[in-house]
Amino acid sequence: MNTKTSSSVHAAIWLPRFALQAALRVTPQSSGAVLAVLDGGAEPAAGNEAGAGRIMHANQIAECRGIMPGMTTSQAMARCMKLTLLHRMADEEERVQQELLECADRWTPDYESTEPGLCVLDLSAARGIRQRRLACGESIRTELATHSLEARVGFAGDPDHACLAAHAAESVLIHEGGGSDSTLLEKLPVAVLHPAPAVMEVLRLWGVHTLAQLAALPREGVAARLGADGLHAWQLAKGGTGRLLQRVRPAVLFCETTELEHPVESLEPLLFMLRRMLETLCRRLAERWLVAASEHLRLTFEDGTQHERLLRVAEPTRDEDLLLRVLHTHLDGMRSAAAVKSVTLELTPTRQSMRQNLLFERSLRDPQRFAETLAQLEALFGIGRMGKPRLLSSHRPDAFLMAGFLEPTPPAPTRNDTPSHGLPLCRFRPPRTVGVSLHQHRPAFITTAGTTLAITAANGPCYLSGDWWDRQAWSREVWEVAASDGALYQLAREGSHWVLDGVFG
Amino acid sequence: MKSPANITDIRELLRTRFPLAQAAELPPAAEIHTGLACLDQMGLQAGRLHEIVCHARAAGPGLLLSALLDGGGQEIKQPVALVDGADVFNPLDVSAETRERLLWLRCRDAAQAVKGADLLLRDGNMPRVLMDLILCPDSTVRRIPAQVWHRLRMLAEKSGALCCVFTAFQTVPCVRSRLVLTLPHGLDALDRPRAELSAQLRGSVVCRGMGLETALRTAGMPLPLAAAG
Repeated sequence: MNTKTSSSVHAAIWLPRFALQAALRVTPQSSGAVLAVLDGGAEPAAGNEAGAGRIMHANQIAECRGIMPGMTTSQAMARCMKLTLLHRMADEEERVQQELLECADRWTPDYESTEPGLCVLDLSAARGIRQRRLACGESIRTELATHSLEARVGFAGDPDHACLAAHAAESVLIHEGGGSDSTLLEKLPVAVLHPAPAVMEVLRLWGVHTLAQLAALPREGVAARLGADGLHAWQLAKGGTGRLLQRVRPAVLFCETTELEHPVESLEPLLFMLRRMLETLCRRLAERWLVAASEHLRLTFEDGTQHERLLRVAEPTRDEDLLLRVLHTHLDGMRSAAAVKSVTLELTPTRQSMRQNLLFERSLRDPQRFAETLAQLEALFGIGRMGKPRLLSSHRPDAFLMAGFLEPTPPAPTRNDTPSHGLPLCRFRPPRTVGVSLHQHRPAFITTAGTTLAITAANGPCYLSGDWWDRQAWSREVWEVAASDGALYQLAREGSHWVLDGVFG
Repeated sequence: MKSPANITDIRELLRTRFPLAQAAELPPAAEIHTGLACLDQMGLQAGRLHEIVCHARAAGPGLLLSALLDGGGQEIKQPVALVDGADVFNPLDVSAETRERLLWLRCRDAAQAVKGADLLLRDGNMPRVLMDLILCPDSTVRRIPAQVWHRLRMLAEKSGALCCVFTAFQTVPCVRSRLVLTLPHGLDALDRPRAELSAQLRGSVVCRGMGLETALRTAGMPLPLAAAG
């Protein structure tokens, strides 16, 4: 095994039997119990029925009884009838991993979440760490023990060796290279490298069980017979791949909140404040080469009410003037009963658009100006009075909702039952209540607003109903009539009253 | 009477500063073909204002509106705006593909419709703006002053948008062409295919040409109709 020394110091924190430790935090068991955790939760994920019900981790007592990872439930129970089986707890595992990373974060900002139950820290920049490695490792173990977690810590010059050292450690192992440490690592089973199952099976058939045996194989032969996965495992066994850590970076929020000492009643000071917030947020976007796709504005008023609005930007941008203009247009038409006491502005980041328009689609000439026009139209018409119509999945007449014109098209196909016959119907909204006189059970006269129209011809009735399974149940008797004024109307009876749905033309 | 010198200077200055306003001819506009005979007889053009008059709703203006919304004849489908003066549009009457590129303004009255059309034409992003004022109360439509229509016409010319106004009576004074639908349909029309109904729409067309010359064309097949003034 390669034992070159390095000036860098890496530490790996490993939680053995990670899934079992997480499950035991939720359902504690007695110390002498024979325990194992099954792969897959209480309800195994779709497509993983083969993995469901197999032993993932077993405690030391269970391993002494011959219960090993990979066994089926029946195989495990056959070896020990007193075996207690636990299910994986995905939420708890996430929490445990988060606690592990928080512990790492207290030592250094440069750490990697390698896999569930394992994280690697780069402590090279820590002053005097070489002399304090043992104490550092013990301190980490003590801290995690307060969270009911058993950890093992390994130190080495590179991340891969540190991981192997953590697996070989009983508590804390410092791998300097050479001597008993190397022997300890060489005796580790091949499984600690997590090779692909196919590679693992071939190595087992070859009788290769330890890292030393794997490292003794010729490189070309391993690459030719085991492929890239096998070569990667061989490199790890030989002395690591010299890789860099994939550092965990906290999520950046593009959100600013301002609490006002003196509530704001007019638009100008509010816009001034919003401009300053936009300057900060746009600078943050520019640092990461991002642009804003939408603005989420939340105003809290003195009387406790809130106003929230998501404003989409036609063409994602980080231009403060453009973003402020969108906010200005929206706020211009707004009225409130109380003054504003706090403002929250959040930008939704996205990558600069590099999309190519479809061949038979023409984009807008000036998307930013169009977005402003839409905001002005919304201020003029009101919310829900402009946009593009989306039909609802219902046979109720006139069932639709108004979607924003710039909203993307939903992936699911919408209803497409455009009538191919007859004249289009112009719907009265709401339908006009009318009086109808019947003759031989057919409409003969329509009376509305003091006017009486004779019905010269009528088609129908056509019976429609829906939503019979809930309180919104409806049913209608629909007639198509020609009136004496020359117009063609759609008349409907709902219960006991008649309405004019609309006029054909 | 000879104009004062200052007036002449002002006219010369205006002619120099705003040559397009003094031009006797408008720049040529792109012709739009929809595939419907009566619409094509109107000579629809981008950047122009047109009017479709329908004295009786049952004459079928909805068919023409649906055809213009669907963008019949267009190889590249463009967004379209519908200024619905009385909020009577039925989304089921157009295809799903059309609904995705339709901006529908649901107005409360004719005055709000005019404001909406004004904003859209000023914006210049919508290549097609349709106004449906047929079911608006006559009094509210008559109250729209002529200068408003002139302004909309100039905005349409500037933006290059096709602006088509549907009215129940002759309203717009400055249109490029006007189609008057006259013959209402009977109840049997509700069972006939829409393509057949659209092809059989009949009306008279009045076009205004260059130099304010009027031309009378007839539309509809197969019988010629009397010219409308």
